[in-house]
Amino acid sequence: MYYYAYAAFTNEDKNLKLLGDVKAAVNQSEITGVESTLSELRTMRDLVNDAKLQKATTFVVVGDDSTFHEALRILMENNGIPIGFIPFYPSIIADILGIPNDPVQAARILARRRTVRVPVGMANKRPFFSALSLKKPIPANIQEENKRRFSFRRKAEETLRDVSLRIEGSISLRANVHNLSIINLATPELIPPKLRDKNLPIGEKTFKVILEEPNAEQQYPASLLLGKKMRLQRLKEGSYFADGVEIGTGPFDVSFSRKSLKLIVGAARKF
Amino acid sequence: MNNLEEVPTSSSAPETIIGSSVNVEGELKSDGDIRIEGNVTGSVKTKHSLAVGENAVIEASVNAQSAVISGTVNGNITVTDRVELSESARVTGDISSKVLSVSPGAVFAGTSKMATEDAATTGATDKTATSNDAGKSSTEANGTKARRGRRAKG
Repeated sequence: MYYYAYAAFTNEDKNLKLLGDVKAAVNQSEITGVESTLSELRTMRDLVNDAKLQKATTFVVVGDDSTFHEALRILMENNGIPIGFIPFYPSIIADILGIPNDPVQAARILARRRTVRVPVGMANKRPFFSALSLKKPIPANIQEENKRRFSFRRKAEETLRDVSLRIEGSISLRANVHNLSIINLATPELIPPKLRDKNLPIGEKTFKVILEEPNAEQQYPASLLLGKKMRLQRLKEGSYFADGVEIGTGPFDVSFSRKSLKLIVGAARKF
Repeated sequence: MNNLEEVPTSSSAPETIIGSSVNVEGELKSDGDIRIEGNVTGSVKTKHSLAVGENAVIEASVNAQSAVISGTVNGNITVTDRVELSESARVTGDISSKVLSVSPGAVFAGTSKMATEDAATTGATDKTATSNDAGKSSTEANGTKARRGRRAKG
C-alpha cells in the first residue's frame, strides 16, 4: 500500500490545479493509497508513524527537496520502507534520482517502482545519499533555462571559501576553494556519469572529496581525495548542502550510517 | 550533483590530487596514483606512482612505487622502482630506488642508494653514492651500472 505525504504548500490555491493533475496521474497509474498532508499539527514524524501503523509498503513524498529530506531523516530510523518522490518544484533530488521534474511524469516513474538500496552518508545527524557540498546545486531544468536566457552575460565571479577538513583522523587539509563536495560513491546508480572513474572504488562505502580550485585554467583544477570518515570545520560564511538541502554551517562529522535506504529511482539520470 | 559535472575527471586521472591552493598536513596515503601540486607536510605513501608538480613543496618522507619529481621535496624518498628528477626538481634528502634519473638543472642534495634486483629480493642494499647539486649533467643509472663503474675506476 502506498502512503502519500503531501507538503502543506501543495494545498495552496496557486498549486491546486497541479495537485489535481498529480492525483489524476496517481489514479491513472493505479498506485493510489492513503493520503495525508503536513500541517502545523501533523508533522512528518506523525505521518511516518501513521504509515507504519497502516503497514504501508511505499512512502511517497509529494513536495520539495526539503520535504523529501525531512522524510529521509525520520525514515532512517525506520528500516525497510521504500521512499518515492513526486517533486512539485524544480528539484535537485529529482535530478539525482533520475525522476522527471514534472509531477505527472514522476507519478508514472513511481508506478514502475524501480528501487535501489542506498548506503547513506551522515553529516552529524543529517543523511545524504548523493553529495554534501558548499555550493547550492541548481536543478537541471533551471540550468538549461539560465543558459538560454543569460548566455550573453559574463560568468559571475565565484566566492572563495576557506575550508578545513580532517580525513580519517590522519590528514588535515586547508584550502581556499570555490566549492567542496563530498560524493557518496556507494551507490553506482546515483553517481553522475562524469564522476564514474574506473580508478575509483565505486560501490564501496567511500567518499570522494572534490575541492574546486580558484584557477580553473590550470591542468588540475580540482583536488581529489578519498576517505571514509572526515570532519568538516565550521564555515565563517555560507552553509553546507546535503543533496542540495541547506543543513547549516557545521562543524560536521561525516561518515556512513550502518543503515541504508531504499529509494525509488527513474530509468536514467539526466546528467 | 549538477555543479560537479564541470569538474574534469577521466579514466587516467590520479586517484588523489592535491591542488595548488591546498595545504595538507599528516599522512597522505593512497592505493592509487598521487599527484601533488600544492603543499604537503608529514608523509606521502602510495603503492603506485607519485608525481610532484613544479610548484609543489613537500616537507615529508615519500614512499612510492615510482616517482616523477618536478617540484621541491625536503625529505627522504624511498621508491621500489624508478625516480625521475626533472630539470625543475629540488630535492634535499636521501633517495633509495632501483633506478634514478636526474635531468640537467635538477638540484639534489643527499645520498642515493640504489638496489639491484638481486639485492632487492634478499633485502640488501647496493652501493651508496653521495650527490650534492648532482644535476649538472644528465644521469641515469641502476645499481649494477654503478657497481661496474666503481670497479672500472679501481
